[in-house]
Amino acid sequence: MTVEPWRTALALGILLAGSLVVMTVGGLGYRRELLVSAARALVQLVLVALLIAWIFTHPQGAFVYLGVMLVVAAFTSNRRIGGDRRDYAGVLLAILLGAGATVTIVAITGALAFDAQTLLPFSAQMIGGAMTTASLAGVRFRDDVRDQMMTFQGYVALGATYHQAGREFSKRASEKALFPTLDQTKSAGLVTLPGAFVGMLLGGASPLAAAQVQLLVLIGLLLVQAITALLTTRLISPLDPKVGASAAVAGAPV
Amino acid sequence: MTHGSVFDLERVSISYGSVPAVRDVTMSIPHVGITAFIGPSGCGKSTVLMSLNRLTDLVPATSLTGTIRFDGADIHAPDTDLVALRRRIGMVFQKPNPFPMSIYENVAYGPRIHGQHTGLDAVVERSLVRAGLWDEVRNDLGRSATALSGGQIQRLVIARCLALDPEVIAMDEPTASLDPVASSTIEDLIRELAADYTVVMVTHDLQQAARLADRTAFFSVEYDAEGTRTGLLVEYGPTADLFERPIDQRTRDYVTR
Repeated sequence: MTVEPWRTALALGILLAGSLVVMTVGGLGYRRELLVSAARALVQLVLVALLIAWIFTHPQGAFVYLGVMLVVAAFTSNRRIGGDRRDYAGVLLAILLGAGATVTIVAITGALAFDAQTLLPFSAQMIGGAMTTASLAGVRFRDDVRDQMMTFQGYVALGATYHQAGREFSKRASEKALFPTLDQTKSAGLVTLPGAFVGMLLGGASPLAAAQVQLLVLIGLLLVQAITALLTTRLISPLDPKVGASAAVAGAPV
Repeated sequence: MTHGSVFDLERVSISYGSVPAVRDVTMSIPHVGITAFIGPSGCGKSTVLMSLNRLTDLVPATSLTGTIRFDGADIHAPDTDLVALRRRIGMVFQKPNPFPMSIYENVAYGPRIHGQHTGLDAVVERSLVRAGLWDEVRNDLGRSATALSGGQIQRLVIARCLALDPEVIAMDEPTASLDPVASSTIEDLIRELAADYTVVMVTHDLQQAARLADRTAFFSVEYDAEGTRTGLLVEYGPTADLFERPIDQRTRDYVTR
């Protein structure tokens, strides 16, 4: 499917102008932000398209691209969680193993063609999903420990290490992190048409082929997230490094 | 260890970051019996109690000077086995803190993390019997511990400590959140346990200290020129002396108010 670029440009121009007109008539703010966002999307997507096009002809570049993605994903999650350097290593490993396991299974079974053109976007989507899960699970985990600090302290007082005590909170936080994808999977095709499905249809693939790939993405994400959520909550410290468990210690300033 | 002291504190000062909690505490806590810590809020009595099994480590930037010896060994020595230390010194908190699991699992938790996986039934039964809870829960061991009443939970928490066969049971206001009936059950239990265990307890309730404790330590608060508040140990001795013949004027003011 190829469309002359000028047709795309024309459509984009009209769409944007339409948004501006509607927003102006309705007296809505954020018009400047609309333009900035659109410009950013344009630049970012063109650059990524060029980069991926280059990778398709230089497949070894895929590893570099995915490596960078992984590092940035772990950084983003860890910052959201408020982790320190040691936590970063845990989050990185959790994302790597979660996404890695799924991509390996899909590649080995031959469910997706073993080439950069197929595996790169699939891997990228798995890393993205793992990042979301690591953030959700990690934040939830730390919040739960903080909210139930007396219980946490009870485990430690019996001789549990911080990690042993944290394990008692890991299960529930991990479960919570799976909810969004479970819901998305349950409602696939009913409430929304998921991204890969829409993309493939637009790209001219048959609806059945689109469904096949979409299933790999959804079910793959479930494995990614189960692994990443559990590992994140097992590997990061249950305590915020700056605050520790101050709230539980009588007499300590909070 | 049948004679002499279990704990020896020597010029112990503790601060949380730049906030001083308590300074210059020197005292010895003898084997078995009950030692009570009393004093106004902010006097550092809970901080000293928590420092006995190094739970103050949970607060980052805690600094402690002086020495705390447990059974003759410095608990801050680099080779201290923190897990073993906490096994020997059980801790009961003011707010009953059941673990979100069954009654059985609550009691078995300690032995399990210390690597014991057989004979747990016997340990659970023995600990619950000793804590005076067995008859009430023997048919409900699989029930969630959070469904118990406050007084029952506090006895469960004590059973949890006993399952590790500790030498010391440290208690931070163990009856403060209980009704009078549950409190008196716990008091009876504490009195019983004191025959075999060294009990150290913080209490706000002077009558409770007078009723239970063999020895009482009175902590107070002082302010320096800049208004910084620090806790300190004012007077420590047999409970009867402290309440009836206090040496320090501050103690006299506090116990007769």
